[in-house]
Amino acid sequence: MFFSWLENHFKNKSNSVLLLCDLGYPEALDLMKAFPQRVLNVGVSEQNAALVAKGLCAEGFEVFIYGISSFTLWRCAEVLKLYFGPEDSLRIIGNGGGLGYGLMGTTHHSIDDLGLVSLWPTWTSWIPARDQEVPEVLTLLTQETGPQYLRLTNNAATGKNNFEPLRVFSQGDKLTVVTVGPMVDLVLEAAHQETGVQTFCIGKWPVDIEKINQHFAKTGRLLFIEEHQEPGSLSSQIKSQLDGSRKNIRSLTLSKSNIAGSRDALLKMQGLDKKSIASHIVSMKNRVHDKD
Amino acid sequence: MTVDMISLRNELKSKLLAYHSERGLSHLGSCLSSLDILTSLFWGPLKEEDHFILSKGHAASLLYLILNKKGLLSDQDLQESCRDGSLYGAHPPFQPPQKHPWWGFGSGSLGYGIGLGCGVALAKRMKNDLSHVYVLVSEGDLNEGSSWESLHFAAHHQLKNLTVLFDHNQVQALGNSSEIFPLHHLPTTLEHLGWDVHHQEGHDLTKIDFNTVSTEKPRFFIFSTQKNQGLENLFSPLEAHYKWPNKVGLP
Repeated sequence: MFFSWLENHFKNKSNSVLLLCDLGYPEALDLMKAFPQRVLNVGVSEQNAALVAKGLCAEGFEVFIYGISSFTLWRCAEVLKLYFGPEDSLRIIGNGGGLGYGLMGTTHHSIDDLGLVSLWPTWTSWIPARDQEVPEVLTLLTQETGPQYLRLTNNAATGKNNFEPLRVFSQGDKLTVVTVGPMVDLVLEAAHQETGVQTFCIGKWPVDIEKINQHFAKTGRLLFIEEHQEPGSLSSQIKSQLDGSRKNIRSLTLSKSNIAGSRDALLKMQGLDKKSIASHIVSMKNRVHDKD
Repeated sequence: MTVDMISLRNELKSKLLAYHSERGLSHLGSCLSSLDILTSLFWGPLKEEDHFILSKGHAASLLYLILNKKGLLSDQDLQESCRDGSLYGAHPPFQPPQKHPWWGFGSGSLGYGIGLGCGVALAKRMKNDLSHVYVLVSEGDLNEGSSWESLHFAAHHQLKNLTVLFDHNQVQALGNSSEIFPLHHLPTTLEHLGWDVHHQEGHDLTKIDFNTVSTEKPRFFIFSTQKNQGLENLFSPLEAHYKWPNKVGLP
């Protein structure tokens, strides 16, 4: 999906370049053939990819780096931190965000990526909820200035909603649920029999959290569900900015990255499956709070 | 080479010694070993549109003095540099007020200059811009794995508009490079990788020569240099990394 979108983008934007970190079979190979001067496989060398990208950005190019989410950020984190700012049209496309590469093991898990990127003030992270949104998100992020990180995690579910930085997927006034990207469909499935649950889905970070704050003020109960480790998570960053008591706030995040398995299996092992989420939703809804 | 070049070098050297002595600033030796290379470059082949990248950022004071002489750093900024509150620290700033290709990029964390140079050289090639990119590196730079990623990249993509200048003073922070991170294989390795490698004496202004037969390869100059150059009676090469002459002792 990324490569077909990029092919069209290349046709309209002659100063756009793609640096591959030896990933993208087979679509990347076709794009290399179509644009041999503008698609370069730098090999498994993320630091060099980031440095070359900076040199190109400084000379007015838009640069995409495509690789495995965790490697494209952590292997070159210092370069990204030091060299990229609001003037740079850098787009990092990180495949396998969250537990997308679950079976590949610890090295390929990317459950601290959003926390890392949020350390860099001029960066923006994008987390599409569904595969169908990826082209729209790519179009949006290329209209922004400064470095952009796209976290790709497969989710074949479909829906009618257009992408928004903060979307409401279900309405209610008993419990505020906040989730991120592709977790939303699992949450909706888990909550479908429950009334009174308002589900927010974050698709872009930083985001204006005032809507969440206002809704939480109404319900007094807040459940975060995020495919990320707790430290550095978007949940923890939102929590630090909310008004009111923390008594009825709970976070379901990840704590382990030392086990291999499919994304679904790993989520389930850490309590992020339909049954467990549903039980947390019921339990949170039934909590008494000062405004009841 | 002209007599003016020698005068220039002597002027820069004198200013360099005073700069470090006044501020009690280390890394004097890192500047002394690069002094003749950069004098030859900045008053030699480097054109207004060429890029210069100081990968060995700890030689920032030398760059400041050169750019001041070239009119790209004001006397006031130079005077205030490496003092409390200055934008210009002991390593080059990431956002110098004046954009110019000779300011290159901020540095201080070693091993990034060659990769940045690759990006700029690639961009120039894509834009059919015939100007050139020069990168000055140190032993420490070549300890870093990122440099080796970039050395491979430049050779593979035949970035012939990229020239790396290696100030090979054979000393790094805790001793001789040969005992810490030996680079004896460098010429052979680089040639095998696809670089056009040249050896030169780095303190003889009459012999430093950037003109080479044109090839499709990026160029790598290995300059034999000395960290305590001109201060042999005061400091060992390693000491020259950390010490500076007091004003009374200025040669």
